[in-house]
Amino acid sequence: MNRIVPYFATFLLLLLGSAPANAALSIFACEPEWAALASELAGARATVYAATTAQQNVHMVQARPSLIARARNADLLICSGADLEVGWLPPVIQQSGNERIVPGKRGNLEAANYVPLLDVPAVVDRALGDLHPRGNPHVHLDPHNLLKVAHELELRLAALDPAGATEYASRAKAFAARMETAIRHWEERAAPLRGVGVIEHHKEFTYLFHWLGMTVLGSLEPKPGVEPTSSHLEELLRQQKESPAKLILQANNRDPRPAQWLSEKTATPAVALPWTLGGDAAARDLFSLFDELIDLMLKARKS
Amino acid sequence: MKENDVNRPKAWLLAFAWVLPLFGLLPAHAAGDNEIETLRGELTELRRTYEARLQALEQRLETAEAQRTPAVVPASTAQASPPEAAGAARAQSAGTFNPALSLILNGTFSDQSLAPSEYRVTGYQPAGQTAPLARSFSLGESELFVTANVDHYFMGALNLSLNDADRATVEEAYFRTLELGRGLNLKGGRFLSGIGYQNSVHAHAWDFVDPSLVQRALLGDNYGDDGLQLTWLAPTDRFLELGVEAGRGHQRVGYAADNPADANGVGSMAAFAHLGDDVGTGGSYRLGLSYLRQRANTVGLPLADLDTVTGTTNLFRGRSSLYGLDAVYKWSPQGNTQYQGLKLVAEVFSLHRDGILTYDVNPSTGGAGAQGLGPQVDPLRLTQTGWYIQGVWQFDPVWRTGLRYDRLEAPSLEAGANASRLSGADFRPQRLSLMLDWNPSEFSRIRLQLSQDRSQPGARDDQIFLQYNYSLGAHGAHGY
Repeated sequence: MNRIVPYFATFLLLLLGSAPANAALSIFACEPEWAALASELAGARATVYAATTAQQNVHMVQARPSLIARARNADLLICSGADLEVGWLPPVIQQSGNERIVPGKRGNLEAANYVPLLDVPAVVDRALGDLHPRGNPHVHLDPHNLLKVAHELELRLAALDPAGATEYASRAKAFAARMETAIRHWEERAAPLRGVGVIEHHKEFTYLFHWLGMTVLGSLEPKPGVEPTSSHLEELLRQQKESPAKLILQANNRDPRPAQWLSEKTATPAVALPWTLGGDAAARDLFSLFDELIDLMLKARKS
Repeated sequence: MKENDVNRPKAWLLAFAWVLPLFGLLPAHAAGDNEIETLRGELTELRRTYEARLQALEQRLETAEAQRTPAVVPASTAQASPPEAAGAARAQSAGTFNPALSLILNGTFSDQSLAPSEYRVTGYQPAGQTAPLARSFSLGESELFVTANVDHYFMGALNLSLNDADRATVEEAYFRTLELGRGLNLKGGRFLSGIGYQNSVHAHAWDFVDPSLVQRALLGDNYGDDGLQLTWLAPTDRFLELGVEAGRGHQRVGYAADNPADANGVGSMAAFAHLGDDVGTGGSYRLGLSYLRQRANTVGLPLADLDTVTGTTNLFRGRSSLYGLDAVYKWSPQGNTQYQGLKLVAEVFSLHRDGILTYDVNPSTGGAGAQGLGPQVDPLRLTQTGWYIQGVWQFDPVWRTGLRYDRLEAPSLEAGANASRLSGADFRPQRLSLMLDWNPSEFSRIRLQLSQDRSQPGARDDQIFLQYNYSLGAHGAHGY
């Protein structure tokens, strides 16, 4: 037993050495966009941890030990919600033993609860694919939704850290002003995209297309969450001859081959888009993300 | 105890019972029958108006939908329309508070060169105690999960296992705290122990058709107990979790003599520690250390494989200690698990028994006693150790393949005066399994597994399994 003690003490010291630094708040964001929004509003008053990256499929994340450890000390958890994280977030929250972030608490913010949801299925049946009964969870790609979530986030931050309330309020106000100006600018720039028919890979850009008035004519996935099949691609090929889409769009973390195949067969440009910040070098924050998305689509439209 | 002490609470209860209805009457008096009627009327009226409004809204939505040309959606109107659609989905029903149900359907077709009834693991499990799946078509194990929050303090879960012999067993039925905080979780009832890695994983989530050989030989596929479990997660950025369990010890480790412990107090104790973190952008690991101790108050210990004569019944009294080490590593390119992924698992378990063996207590079976040797009592020390290593490679969004190697060491035995009647079998059981599975969605899996099982000397069991595994109902979430 005596031999173990020094090892154990060293081990504990190592662990204590990795204890988190002290900001007023610790925020656990399920996706990079919510991490960015939290940083915009909280500034240096919070340490923000992004649980996933733009390269990952956030529906299929593992409930990794590192996520559980990070959730343990979080004062606030901000996620897309609407079952996007249903496969991993519940065990992460449970195992973290952190009562402040359980659903229903002030420290648990699901963005989908504060915005109008699209694609709410009338019939919920797994034969129709991996449906989200509450609606499409990829809400951040309509910047109007970011404003709505920012408003709720400001209230939560102020409630959790009253000492910073004035700072959160002024930051939220500044963010909203910047965002509103940017939205006007984006809507002007994206005017040529209005009414443009597109084929998507997965329903992850629904809010973007809806916001910019673009029309989805088909999906590479035969059903939500089901990988593209050759028979379905043949069907899209036939459809493309009758009512052609102008663009084939997909997130750049998806397999590019189905989109490329259809693009070559139909001479329709295929574009890989960053679905959130960090998705490519240009999409660094919430503003440059939309700049980049609109840039890429306009460029492809002209070519 | 004095009579007064007993009467005092009774008096309080009486007083309480008298006072309570008085409080209950107060609001009723204040409201009066007429007012209740008025309120009821107002409520009905309110409901009617809302229903009318909802219908009007639905109508407007329908007309708006019909008028909208599909090609052009002006951004301004696009913003206004969706809330109604979301509202419809939030419609309340009597089932709102029903627990989440999920059902696992599982079945196999198998071909085995050895009859399952002949199957044994030399030095670990005698024939008839454990067996691979049934041959030909078989239902396997169906599982039913029911779970919901009880209130703001507790959640509850039930997991019924329905096996192909038409028997239902309560695999798990537990409560767990929701808001204990400080990194603590308390679980109570019947649950799968947190020892090892694969032990708390339900059959439908295994990476192979069957559990590892060491898990089958020492933990009876999944070791669970009736008791309490407390876990604590350290408040550090690196994952460190500690857990302790206290239970009845109703499921025996090692030889599957499943005697209910008829004793007061705690029959078994377990403790485990987990350490884990990420490695780079795509990798993660978890290491585990486990310990389980059981008290055995004279339980059957069928040492059939170690007996030099057949047909004996032995009793063991003493302590069984199980030590475990486990390691899991997962990797996928940039942490994106959709297209590719690797999962490596290795576990070692070692069971130590220390106590008294009463050898051959049942001469009528025609065993050693019948041969005039008689029962004999002497100390027993028995050590059984086994390990496995497995790797699963997901090479496509829907395809995975895996390889597993199982190995059990020959048990080491010190039986004192009984030594002449027990032979430490000098044989090391091993098995090699190859798996290929197709996962067309998150909810279904079709699997082919080929195994070469050398669990007994001189008899190789070539096994082929074809398995389906479906999950219906609530979207499950899996731990690491």
